[in-house]
Amino acid sequence: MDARDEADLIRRLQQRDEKAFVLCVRTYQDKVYGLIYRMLGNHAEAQDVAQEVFVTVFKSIDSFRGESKLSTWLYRISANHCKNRIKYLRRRAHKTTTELDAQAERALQNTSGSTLGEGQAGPAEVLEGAQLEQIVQRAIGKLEEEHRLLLVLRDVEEMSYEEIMQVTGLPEGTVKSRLHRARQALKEEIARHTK
Amino acid sequence: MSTPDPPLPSLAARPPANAAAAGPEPAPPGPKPEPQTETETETESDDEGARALLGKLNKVAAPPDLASRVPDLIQRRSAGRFFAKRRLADRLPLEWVSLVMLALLALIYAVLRMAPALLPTP
Repeated sequence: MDARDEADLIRRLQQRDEKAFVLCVRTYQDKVYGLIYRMLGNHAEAQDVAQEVFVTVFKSIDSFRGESKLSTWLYRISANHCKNRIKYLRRRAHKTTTELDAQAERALQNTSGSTLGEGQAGPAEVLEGAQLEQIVQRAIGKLEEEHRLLLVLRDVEEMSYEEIMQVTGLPEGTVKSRLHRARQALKEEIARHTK
Repeated sequence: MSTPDPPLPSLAARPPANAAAAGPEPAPPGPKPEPQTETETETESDDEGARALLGKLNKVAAPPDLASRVPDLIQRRSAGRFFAKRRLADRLPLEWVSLVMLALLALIYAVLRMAPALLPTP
């Protein structure tokens, strides 16, 4: 969406135009949901939080000053909601399970009931991808919220450092150093899971 | 005869008493930075490894009904103040309704005027 279209969308959102709001959701839902899912590792929680994010957008659009892109602002709201949800779930001692995506689940079911490692026939690449997805997502879920957020923003969503600084409010040096520590922590978690 | 005590270091060489308040002294110039060490190279490759792994994660798509669920949620929470379901009469623009009514009246008028000519004579 170019700057002009975005400015027009923001103006209509501030007028509480329903069509504009639906357009906003459709345009940004994948980005928002992707970030939230990677942060929480659970589709049910991610759907709930994604809805809350857009409700917050609807309520707070008047406070959006246009100093950043609309997507950056949405990411910021999403990150805050995720952090709050993680704290809430931690207090409730809720064990979130990392879900395989549907393709991976089908792939596992298509191996004639065999479990991984028994050498049964199956699409090797799909299985490998499914295992990798599960291991990496589980490892992400073990990290601190700040590390998790930086990894997802930079290495999954491929945002620039400038955008990450706008989302997190952190200076560039801090972003880079925490990102490095996050990657180290992720590597250690993956090594622990693959032992 | 006892050997004399070694002379005390000159007071001028000692840092002043309020040095702590002034902050630490700058460190003496150290050796020139070494070329990249094996540890630094390993660190960068670890970072690249983690990035490569994360880059392989599948893109996650939002549920297809999210765009319809959120307005419904707002409508419920606002008790109908926003995004309320409108009746057909509320959704049609008044100008169009007026034009259609006028056209209909004109048609009826034309039919009534032409009616004596159309009706068969007894």
